[in-house]
Order: sequence, then C-alpha cells, then structure tokens
Amino acid sequence: MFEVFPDIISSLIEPINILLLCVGVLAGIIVGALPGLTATMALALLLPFTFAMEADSSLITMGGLYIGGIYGGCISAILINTPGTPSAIATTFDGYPLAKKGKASHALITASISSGIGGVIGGLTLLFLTPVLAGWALNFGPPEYFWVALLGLAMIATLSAGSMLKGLIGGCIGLLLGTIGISPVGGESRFTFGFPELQSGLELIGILIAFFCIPEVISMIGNKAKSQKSLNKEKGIVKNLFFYIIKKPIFIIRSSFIGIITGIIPGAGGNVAALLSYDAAVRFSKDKKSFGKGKIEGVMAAETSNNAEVGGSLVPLLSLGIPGAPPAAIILGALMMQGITPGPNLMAEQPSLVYTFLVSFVIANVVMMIFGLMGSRYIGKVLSLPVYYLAPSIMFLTIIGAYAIRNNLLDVAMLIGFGLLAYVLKNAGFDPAPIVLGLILGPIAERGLAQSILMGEASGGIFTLFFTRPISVVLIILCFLSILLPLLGTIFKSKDKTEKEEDKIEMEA
Amino acid sequence: MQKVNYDIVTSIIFIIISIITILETRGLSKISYIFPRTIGVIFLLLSFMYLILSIIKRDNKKLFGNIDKQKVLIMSIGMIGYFISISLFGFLIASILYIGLITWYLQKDQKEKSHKSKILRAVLCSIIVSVSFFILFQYVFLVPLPTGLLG
Repeated sequence: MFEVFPDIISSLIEPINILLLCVGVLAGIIVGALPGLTATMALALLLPFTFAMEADSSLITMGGLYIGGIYGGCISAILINTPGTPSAIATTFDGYPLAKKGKASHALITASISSGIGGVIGGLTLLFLTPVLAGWALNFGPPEYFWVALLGLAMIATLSAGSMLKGLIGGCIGLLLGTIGISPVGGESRFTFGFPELQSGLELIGILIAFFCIPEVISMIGNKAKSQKSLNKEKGIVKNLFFYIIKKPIFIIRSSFIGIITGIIPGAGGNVAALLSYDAAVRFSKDKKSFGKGKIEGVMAAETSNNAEVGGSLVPLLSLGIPGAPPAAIILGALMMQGITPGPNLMAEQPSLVYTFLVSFVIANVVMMIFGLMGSRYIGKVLSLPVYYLAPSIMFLTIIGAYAIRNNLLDVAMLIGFGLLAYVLKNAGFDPAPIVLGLILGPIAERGLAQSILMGEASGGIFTLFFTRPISVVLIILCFLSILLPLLGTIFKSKDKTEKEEDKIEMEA
Repeated sequence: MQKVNYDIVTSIIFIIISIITILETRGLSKISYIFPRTIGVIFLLLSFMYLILSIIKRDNKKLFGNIDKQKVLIMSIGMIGYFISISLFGFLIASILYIGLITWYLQKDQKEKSHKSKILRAVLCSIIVSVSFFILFQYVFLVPLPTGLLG
C-alpha cells in the first residue's frame, strides 16, 4: 500500500472526488431513509451516471452511496417504525420505542455514532483483509474458480429471503440467463433466438436495474405513509452518547465482528447481521427484559453490525471477483463499465485504484457519521415525499439509465420486460438476488468448468483435477454444508413445531 | 370450481422452460453444451420438486393478494406505453407525457386536493424532471437520446 500512497493521496484530495464522496454519502442517506428504496436500488440508479466519471471517482461515489444507503435506513426505522432498507429491520425494535418515548434524537444520534464506528471497523477490515485474500486467491486455478462460484451461489440461494427451493431455482434461472450469447470457451452462439444483439450476452447493467429497481418501484405505489414521530432538540446529548458508546468496547467489537463475518459470507446481508448482533446483545445483557422497549444498546447493536457488514460484503468482490451481496454486484457492474475485471489480479494490476477505494471507504464512514449527527433530523423530512412524485421519477431514471449504457432501445425493452418478470417472480416468492448473482457467477463457473475439462482431458484425469486438489476439497465441503445445514435446520424446526402442536392438542384434550 | 394454485402454474412453466433449454443445447460442441445442459437438468429436477411440493402443500395465497392491482396494472402498461412513445415521439416528449400522466393518476386517492392542483403538480413535476435530466444526459454526458420516428 505504501508504494502507491502518493497516488492515493493525490486522488483523495482532488476537489471533485471530495465532492462526489460527500454527495454519494448524502444521496445514499436520503434514498436509504425512504422506505421501499434500498441501498441496492440507489446504487443501480447511480450506475449509468458513473460511466462518464474516472474509475476512482466512480468507485468513491459508489462506496459513499452504499455506506450512506445502509445508514439511512435507520432514520425511517426510528421515526416511522419502517426500515428504510432491510438492514435496518433490527433498528426498529428499540429505535421506534425510543422515539415513542420522545427520545428520537437519542436513537438517531446513537445510530449515527454506532454506524460510523461499525463502518470504520468494517472498512479497516476490508483494507487489510482484501490484499491477504487476493494473494491467497492467486493460487486458484479453473477448478477452484468453478467451486468458488458454485459456493457463492449455493450460499446466496440458501440464505436469501424466501424458501430454499425457490432460492435454488432462482439461482438456476440466473445461471441459464448467463449462458445467453457466445460460449466463453467453446465460442459457439447459444440461446440468441436470431437476435444478433444477444451474441454478447444480456446487458448486465440493464438486468441489474431491472431486477433491483423496477419491482421495488411497482411495489412502493401500494405503500401507505405512516405518521412520523417528532424530534426534540436537546443540548449535549451527542457528547454524552459518544462517551457512553465508546465505553463499551467489547460490545462494539462483538457487533462489528458479527457484521464483518456475515458480510463476508455471500448472501447473508445486513439484515441478518443486524438481527444476529441484536440477538447477541440480548443474550449477553444482564437486563434482557428492557430490550424492545427503547434501549440504547438495541440500536447500537443493530447499527454497528449492519454498517460493519458493508465492508465485509466487499471483501469477496475485491479479492476473488465474486460479489457476495446485491450491492457488491452493482459495484462489480461499475468496475466492468470502466473496463476493469475484479478478481485477485486487480490488486496486483491496479493497486492504486483499489487502495484509493478502500481508504475512501473508511473516510466515507466518518463523513456518514458527521452527516448523520448534523442532519438526520432534517433528512427525516424527506420521509414525507409523496410516492406520486417518486415512483414515476425513479422509473424515468431507470429508463434513461438503461438507454445511456449502449444507446440502444433494445436495452430499454429488455429492462421493462425483465423488470415486469422480476416483479411477478418476487410476488411468487423468488428473491431477485439469487437470479442476478447467478447471472454474474454463471460465466465464472462455466469458464472454470470448461477450462478444467480441457485441462483434465489433456492430463488424463478430470476427476483428480476437480475433486482432489486441497482448496477444491475445502470448497466442495463448504458447498455441501451451505446446502445441508439450512435444510437440516428447516427439518428440525418443522419437527419441533409439529411436536409442540401435538403437545398443545394433548393439553387441550 | 377449484382455483389453480399459482405455484403449480409457475412450476409447470419452469418445467417447460427447462425442457426447451435442454433441447436447445443439441448440436453444440461438448465444451459449449456441458454447462447449460447440466444447469437445465438441475433446473428441471428442482422444478419437478417444486411442482410436487406445490401439489402436496396447497395454500390459498393469491399471487397479488394485498396489492392495489389497478395501480400496478396502470404502472406496468404505462411503462410499455412509455417505451412505445419514446420510439414514436422521442425521449423528451415521451418522458414529459409519462411522468405527467402517472403523477396525475397516482394522486387519485388525494381527495383533499382539487383537480386543478393535481394537474398543476403533475405538469410541473414532469417538466422539471424530464427537462433537467434530458439536458444532463444530452449535453453533459453527451448521450444522444432518441428523437423518435415522428421527431
């Protein structure tokens, strides 16, 4: 990192980058605060705007937006008991009761400080863990890439929202969509149905916007605005709460650790991180009963963890080239738009770009904390922005964004078609995340499989190549565990439920 | 008459798609068909499993149960209409029409507002949003936005 230090500094002190970082964080907070508009959606909407930017500026803006978006979700969680983003679900447990007690300012300030601290810890982990993992991943050959892609997909399919079967089916749909176009190794055209535009495959950015934005915009028109809790201005609470929080280092480290690990695991997401951290906070507390009734520690646990998760979720993308979460998939799209392929070689080929992004990521967390402390009460006002302005304006942005990528109206038609399909599938219980990540991971898995087969045929042992290399064996075991463990969990849960129901019937009899 | 469960319909559609996928891989070389055909077979097996589970565990949940179907339908048709009008009238006019009409329509529940004020809001919103982003993309990002067949 130290060799490229002058490049990092010169990039970070450029006025345009400072401005974009601040605008990204602020826009993220505003979008994240609006219920129905997730951080993923904000990133997907911003994507077309970044293609005119330099690579470093684009990544700095995207990083700021991602961080701001995840934090912004807590504002509506606290003020109207509706998480602005899924990551803020656990913030409602104690945040809203605090607001009902007239302590909305306490909850918002705690959320800002905890998010900032959690985010900085997550950012530092990203900064120091990425080069280590990328160095390790340089030993990967085609079979390992095949198994890593399958592991990512298995985890995303089993951990994402909804049933596991639907997650796996969604993953298959994504993998099949990823095979449209020229075969990566064989060079033959597949599933193009006579459209020459499909030879290069589906336009990834358009699909990202279609799957992550359109279902949400259509869904939001059915949402009703909730009444907002008022904010009382109090003096000196920032200082008091800051010292109250930093006097609990074990609590902060535990919540951050849960967030980072959850982030690194593909598919788990900020909502899982926040719920696990909240659960741990309750378990380790001496005063368990006060949770859920407006306890500061409840907000701290959720917010520290979900912002630490942001850093963790980018580790697999920057070190292996495998996006572990939907926002990471969009950052991958931004990199690809700049002609950069993420993966272990990125660290060696473009160290100044990667380190600039990582350092700016840590700084963005501090900026987010400052904006949160200064402006969350004002940002809360956007919650009253009517859906009748938002929905058509966002739809307009998705259309202009999809068109601008290749100046092709077919991309707009694909956006609308896939967007409507994604909406129907979402209502039928198929989460968009496994589909989109299947689309991204499919070509990685296929290239790994095809190259391994060719290597195996040349050396005379396909089985040995796939199943006996040490890293492959570990990845295969993890693949099986990622599918079997949730399956066993579901079986035991349903068995336990049946036994309880039987006991209840016996008691009633 | 018993209603058909949407899970059953979805699983049958998936089975058909997976069979088409497997059939479409005929004629390709081994290195080109191995991956899509394998995924097609897995997709087929999972879809069968989905069909069997849907038949065993029938629930009466509706596909668009708690949703304002009329709004969703208008929004969806609006998107298709927007695409057609971009091809005909060009991006700027189509956007002004789309944003204006949808903003006006979505205000239908706002009983306290007069009809005049709803139209005024829709017109202002559509012109401000469309024109500002049109200028940004056309003249700052230098993206040649479509002018349409009639433009």
